[in-house]
Amino acid sequence: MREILDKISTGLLIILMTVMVLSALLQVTARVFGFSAPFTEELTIYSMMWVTLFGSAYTFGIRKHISIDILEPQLSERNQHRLRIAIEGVILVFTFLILIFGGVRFSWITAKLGQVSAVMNVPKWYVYLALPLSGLIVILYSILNIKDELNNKEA
Amino acid sequence: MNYDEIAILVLSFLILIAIGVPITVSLALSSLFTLLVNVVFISATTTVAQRMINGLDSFTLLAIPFFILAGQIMNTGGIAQRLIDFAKALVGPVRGGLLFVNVLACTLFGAISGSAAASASAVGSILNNKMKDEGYDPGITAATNVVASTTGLIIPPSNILIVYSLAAGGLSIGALFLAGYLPGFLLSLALIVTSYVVAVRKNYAKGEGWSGTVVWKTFVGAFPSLMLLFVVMGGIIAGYFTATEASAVAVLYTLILSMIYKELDIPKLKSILVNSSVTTAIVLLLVATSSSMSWVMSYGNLPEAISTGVLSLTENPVMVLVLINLILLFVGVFMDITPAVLIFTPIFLPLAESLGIHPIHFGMIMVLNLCIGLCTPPVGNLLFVGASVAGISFQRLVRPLLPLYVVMLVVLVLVTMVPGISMWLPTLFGF
Repeated sequence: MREILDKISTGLLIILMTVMVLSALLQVTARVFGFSAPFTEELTIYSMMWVTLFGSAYTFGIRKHISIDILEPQLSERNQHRLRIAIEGVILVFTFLILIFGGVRFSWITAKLGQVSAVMNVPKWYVYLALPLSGLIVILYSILNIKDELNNKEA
Repeated sequence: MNYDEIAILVLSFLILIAIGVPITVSLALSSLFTLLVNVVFISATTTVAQRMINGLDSFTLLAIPFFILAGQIMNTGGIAQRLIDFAKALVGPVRGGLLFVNVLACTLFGAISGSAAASASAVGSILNNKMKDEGYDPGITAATNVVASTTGLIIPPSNILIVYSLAAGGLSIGALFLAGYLPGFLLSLALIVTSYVVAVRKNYAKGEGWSGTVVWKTFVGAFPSLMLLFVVMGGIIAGYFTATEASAVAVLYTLILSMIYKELDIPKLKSILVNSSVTTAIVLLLVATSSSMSWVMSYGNLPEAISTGVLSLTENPVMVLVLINLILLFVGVFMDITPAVLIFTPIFLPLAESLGIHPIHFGMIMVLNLCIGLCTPPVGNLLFVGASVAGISFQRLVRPLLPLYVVMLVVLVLVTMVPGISMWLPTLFGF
């Protein structure tokens, strides 16, 4: 399960990063040689937003987001497991409330207002949908992380 | 903002980070809890989500992932090795020369890559073992490496100065970048002097004799890498590139260079892209969640309240700067530099400006100050990178770091008290 999720996430990130770099380079080239590629600015920014959100989901999966590691080493092994599960629980609260609930509602409001991007005319809620979509990946990773903790405790 | 809201904001944030919840999640949740005092549940969650995504909607921010990517490419390509060879030919022959090489290589790497963590790991991983073999204490080596790599945050290009420019409401990045050179070099110089004192006391070895031919040869080797400095910074200062465009060009340049050095293949490139997107996500999710907290604070008029509070204590600019510095030192110990800059710039900058302090000068003070926090536990990002590259526990680094903290504080005091150190270059170039 984790392997599949990792493959999907890293594959998506490689594509998004590549799009971001190529689109920015196209913009510089366009300006230097005097032709115009007005969509590049939006494309680059939107791919950065997606890299941030989907990259964050993957980073939650591998537990690389910055945190303070002072409490955990002081606890017994048993309590360390409990603490890590509790932290995953807080991450789940954040994901449900803000990324998914807040994200869906924000995308929905934007869709209802009919906001489109200035140059590409893309409905903006497509872009904002990355909030709940990345949230779903965070939830899957969180469940996997909790399951790993529970399995380790038995071992 | 009334006392209840401030208490909720501060306490929920501190409790969450203390138990080990990722800082970015703590920022978002404590913003949400604070909003819930006055705003209904559905609107509060929507507002936090909206502020997060709006915080990312900026062309300037794009320079950050590009500089991160360029730094990662340099880290695997032969660029770091060539810079180290050049530094070694230049300063290696002195007593304790390898410490100097460490400082100089971190400074050079920071000056072309813009990423302190990349510079700590690139230089550290190449030099640490060699220095251990030659009798250098691994703790001292790693401590020097950690502090020297902070110069990468001050010497341009610098991601944190880009974040500061945004937080300060769109300050010229060219001017900020120029301002960073002298404070950054001052810190390197101070570190080199300290290293010399350490080297003499510990009686460290001298390197091989100084040779003009070797210097020239290694300079030629490092030249294409150093050229990047002129392309990126020259382009920005001359107004030919924006910071974002320059950073994209830096990616292309490092990519081509690593391909010429034959140090890059497709699997390596893939892992570079994934690693860069993880680093980008860590930094930019902090930017997103900090924007929601910063919004909650300004929605509650907290910046004005703090301004009034400080000004009622003293209106002497020096005293105010001392006070702000003390608060930031405390903040830096518990908060990563990116959220600290995004959250505290809107609070302290208007106060500093009202006392006649230039926003560029203030940016240098703030970044230099928060760099100290990056080298201290418990949230010392660079400290942990440095320790893990050296393969020792960070506790072993704390003692050799003590004199270096003093060095950083001295440089901070100088930069705070002498505006010219920050303002001379930007003024010279007409910003």
